[in-house]
Amino acid sequence: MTEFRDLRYVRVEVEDLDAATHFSADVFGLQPADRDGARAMFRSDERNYALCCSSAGDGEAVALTVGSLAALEDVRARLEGEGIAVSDLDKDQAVARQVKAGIAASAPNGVAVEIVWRPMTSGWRYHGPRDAGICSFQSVSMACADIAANERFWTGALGLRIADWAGDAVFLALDDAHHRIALYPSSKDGLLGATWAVEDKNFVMGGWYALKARQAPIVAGPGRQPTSGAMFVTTRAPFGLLMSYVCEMEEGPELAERGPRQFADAAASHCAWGSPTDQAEFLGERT
Amino acid sequence: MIELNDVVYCRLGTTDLAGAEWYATNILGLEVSDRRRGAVYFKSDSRAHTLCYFEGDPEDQATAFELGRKEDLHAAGAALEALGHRVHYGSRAECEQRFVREFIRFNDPTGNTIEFVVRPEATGQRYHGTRDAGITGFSHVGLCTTDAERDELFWTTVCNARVSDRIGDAPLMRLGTIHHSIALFPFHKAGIQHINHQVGGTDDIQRSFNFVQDNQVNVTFGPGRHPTSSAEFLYFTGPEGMTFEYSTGVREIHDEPLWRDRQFHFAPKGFCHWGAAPRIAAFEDGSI
Repeated sequence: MTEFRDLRYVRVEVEDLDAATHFSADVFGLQPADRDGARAMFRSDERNYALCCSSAGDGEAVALTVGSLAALEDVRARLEGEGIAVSDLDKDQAVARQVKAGIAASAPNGVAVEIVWRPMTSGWRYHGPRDAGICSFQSVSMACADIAANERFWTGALGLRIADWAGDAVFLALDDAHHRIALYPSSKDGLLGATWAVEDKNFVMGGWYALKARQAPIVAGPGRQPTSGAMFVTTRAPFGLLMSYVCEMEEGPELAERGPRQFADAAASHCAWGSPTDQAEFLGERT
Repeated sequence: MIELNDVVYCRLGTTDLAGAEWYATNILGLEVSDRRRGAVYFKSDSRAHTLCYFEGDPEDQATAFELGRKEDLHAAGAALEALGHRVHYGSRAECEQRFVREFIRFNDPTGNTIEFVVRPEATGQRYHGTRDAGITGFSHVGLCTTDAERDELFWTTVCNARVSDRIGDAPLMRLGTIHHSIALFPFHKAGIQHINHQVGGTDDIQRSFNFVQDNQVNVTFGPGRHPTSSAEFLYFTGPEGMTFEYSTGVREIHDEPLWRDRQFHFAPKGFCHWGAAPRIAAFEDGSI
């Protein structure tokens, strides 16, 4: 099975680049990076960008990195073998995404999954507009009207490993981290959220107060995921994406060894602290 | 110098003993360890009791500290009398009410009732709370002071307390290695300002934050983290308006000669590292 090097970026569609920039940078603490008339990029680590806010109409996407062209072809063959249409990123698309080459396929929930080779790394370290303690881009979550089809897509053709289930929500690993992709049963299809790792709990809790002080909505948390062990607090960007600070997510080769666990289809499987939330995806069927 | 080992219990008067017991067990998570006519005793660790609610005036409150031996207690009584304090020597019945071998009672310069005790009872039974609050033990008290400088001198020169840090004029003082066992907060009258229990970790603080809110208990400060002691905390309101605190991760001071007390702001940033703002009277009326 092809090894993916990392979860690379998430692209969201926005109407107002200035509003998106204000929230992503001034409120959340990502570093504004490259920007043109249609796209604004934001950095959180050595990636040249981890979040792309686009008004160019190029759709929602999440990207995984491969280490070679051969690996790219390998993933293409597997996707096509499952009957999934694959397109090449043309030159303009590759330039816009800041990658050497890539392919794209649509997940059942309509989000483009882009497999990229040689995404740009910055020689300059991340320095956020405020001291939010952000360390790195951590994970992406998806809303799925057909959870089974999406689980099949990610685990079959793409070969991600199931870390845990909470009800039918499924956490998918591609490296030593507990998960990089999370799929939630939902009434909607599309991107649900993205999370950024912060140094420690001081920045989860400090982030909570900082978000509230900036009138950002708190959608979930502060809490702890019983599945991944991650402490989190979640806000919602004006462009709809749930954005979280997380820390202490389980990590290590022993997680693959342990194998996936089934957690109850209940809110307690999404927060061990009992923090209140109205976000349907985190409530489960049982209370 | 009066050598205090530790803070050992608080006694709180209440006009609603049943209500106080309900709160102490179901919200705070303590365990009823004994009952006497008009009084209920609670344990929070292996000690026989660390809190007593009794039928009486809610302003009738006492905080007790442990001394080593009865000779020390008698010397302390004499020293306090020499300084002009009226010292009451506890009767046998009063000692039995407190599960101690001997004690004296006096008022500190602000007028807080203080008891010095010897041989407070320990038990072989560990604490098992009514709810899983994760409590590991009673740890410190905040006392009100009408003159912080005067009272700091009392605790540090007549007794053996050492100032670990100050928030404005409020000294946080240690008796052993724990960053503070007693703290003084400027206020217009005497009284216990807050009672602290330690819990096992971050998860206990955060779960209790949601638990007490779900039970309509007023959270007055936190969850937060003190820049002084580095402890994570939650403050909430109990019977008769008493402030209770859970905290975890309090700093210990082991190199006694090298520690330098630090001055922090009497402002939210002096109280919380994360950005929480207190809604507690004695944390808001600062002078610096």
